[in-house]
Amino acid sequence: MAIKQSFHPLNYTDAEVVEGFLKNPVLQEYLYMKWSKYFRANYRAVFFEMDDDACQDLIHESYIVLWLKIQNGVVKVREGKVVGKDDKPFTAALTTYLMNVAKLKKKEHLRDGQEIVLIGELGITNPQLTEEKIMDIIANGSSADWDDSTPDYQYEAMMEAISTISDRCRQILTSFYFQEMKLDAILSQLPSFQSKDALKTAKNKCLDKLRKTTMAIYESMVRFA
Amino acid sequence: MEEKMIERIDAYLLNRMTQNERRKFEEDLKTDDALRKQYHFMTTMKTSVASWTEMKRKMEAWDEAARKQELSDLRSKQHMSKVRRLWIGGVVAAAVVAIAIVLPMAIPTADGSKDSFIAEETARGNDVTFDDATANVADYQVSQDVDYTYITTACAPAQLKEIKESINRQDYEDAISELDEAIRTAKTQAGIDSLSWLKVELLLKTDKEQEARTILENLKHNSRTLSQKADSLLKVLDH
Repeated sequence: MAIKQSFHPLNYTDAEVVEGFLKNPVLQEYLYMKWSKYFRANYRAVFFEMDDDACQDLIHESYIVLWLKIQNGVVKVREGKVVGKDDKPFTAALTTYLMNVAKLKKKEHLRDGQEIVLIGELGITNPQLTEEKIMDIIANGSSADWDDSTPDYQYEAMMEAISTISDRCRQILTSFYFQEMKLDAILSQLPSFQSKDALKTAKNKCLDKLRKTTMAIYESMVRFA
Repeated sequence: MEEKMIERIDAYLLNRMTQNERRKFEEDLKTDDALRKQYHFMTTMKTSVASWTEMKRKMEAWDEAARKQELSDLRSKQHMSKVRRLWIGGVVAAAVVAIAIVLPMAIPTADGSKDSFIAEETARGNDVTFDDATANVADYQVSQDVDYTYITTACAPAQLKEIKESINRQDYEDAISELDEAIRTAKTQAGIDSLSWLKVELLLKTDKEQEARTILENLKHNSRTLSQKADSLLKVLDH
């Protein structure tokens, strides 16, 4: 009889985690659990009291940022050390880095003065973007050219934008583009939409808002890169 | 116009085009700059939505696994705690039962007090008393209400009368001598034991403890009727 075994080493170094992160889901989970525990143990010293959902959202958002940085090769291992932008070695542990990301995310939420920036009927949640900024981009157009030249930034900006749009928008776009469901099938899951046409209009609006949000984030990335 | 463009791109990305439509779309991509930019945006969006959803699902699965693990750990702790409580409860209960059984037997030996001795003897239906002033075994007294029934049957009425008179006079030496004679002539072991017990009482009264002990040891090991009583008194003497 086969014996089901699970192997959980006590510790991986940060360099080991980053080195094998993209290929080894065990390392992804290991760092996530470490980060999640670290955050829950320490966030009260950094933030005000948050409910469990807010904690989880911040943990996820921050982790996605690091994940993307590793995926894009911004965070990597050089000569056995974890390095960041311009191959500058990390001076702190990955959990500390993640906590700093979480701090920035939270600051952005607070700076915008609202957790959710409602734009239009479906709403957009965006920590980096105020409604004013978006209107400015809509009016003047984005200075950053959306082409093939900076795919990593585009992808990162898009991922960040997806994190910030409303749950409803995310659900529509995920159902349509990821699960590749037809509008009729999505409609049966979202009874608040009266017709297929209404859902199609909502989907296109979500797409439009995602594009604008992504552009704004992308532009700030290109500008400050 | 843009809506139509998005519809075309959707159909292409989701493989909902015929071969001809696909070919036409790919040709348009090469020449139509707006279509190319929109297409590029939407492919990035499709990839990003997929990646984001995958990452989110993974994190939610890890959260769920951690929650289950926490719950399982908690249940395990509660179970262990319950088992531990049962064990402790069992051990305590066993200890209480053991104490309840052993203590009554141990107390007379342990404290050897006159009270426990009297209580024990009273429980057995024996009537014995100590002089209240001291717990000294030398004050051990033969009750005035000594039941002479055994002695009555153990020896001749004349002998019994002499013994009683000697005791009443507090002439214990004489009473002992008379008892020795009665023991020698007794016909039953029960009679010998009863007379021996009375002799023990008198020996203690006359500070002949060692001699009394010898008789008590004998009664303890051999008497059917006075074994426990002899044992109890020996324990009092040991104290």
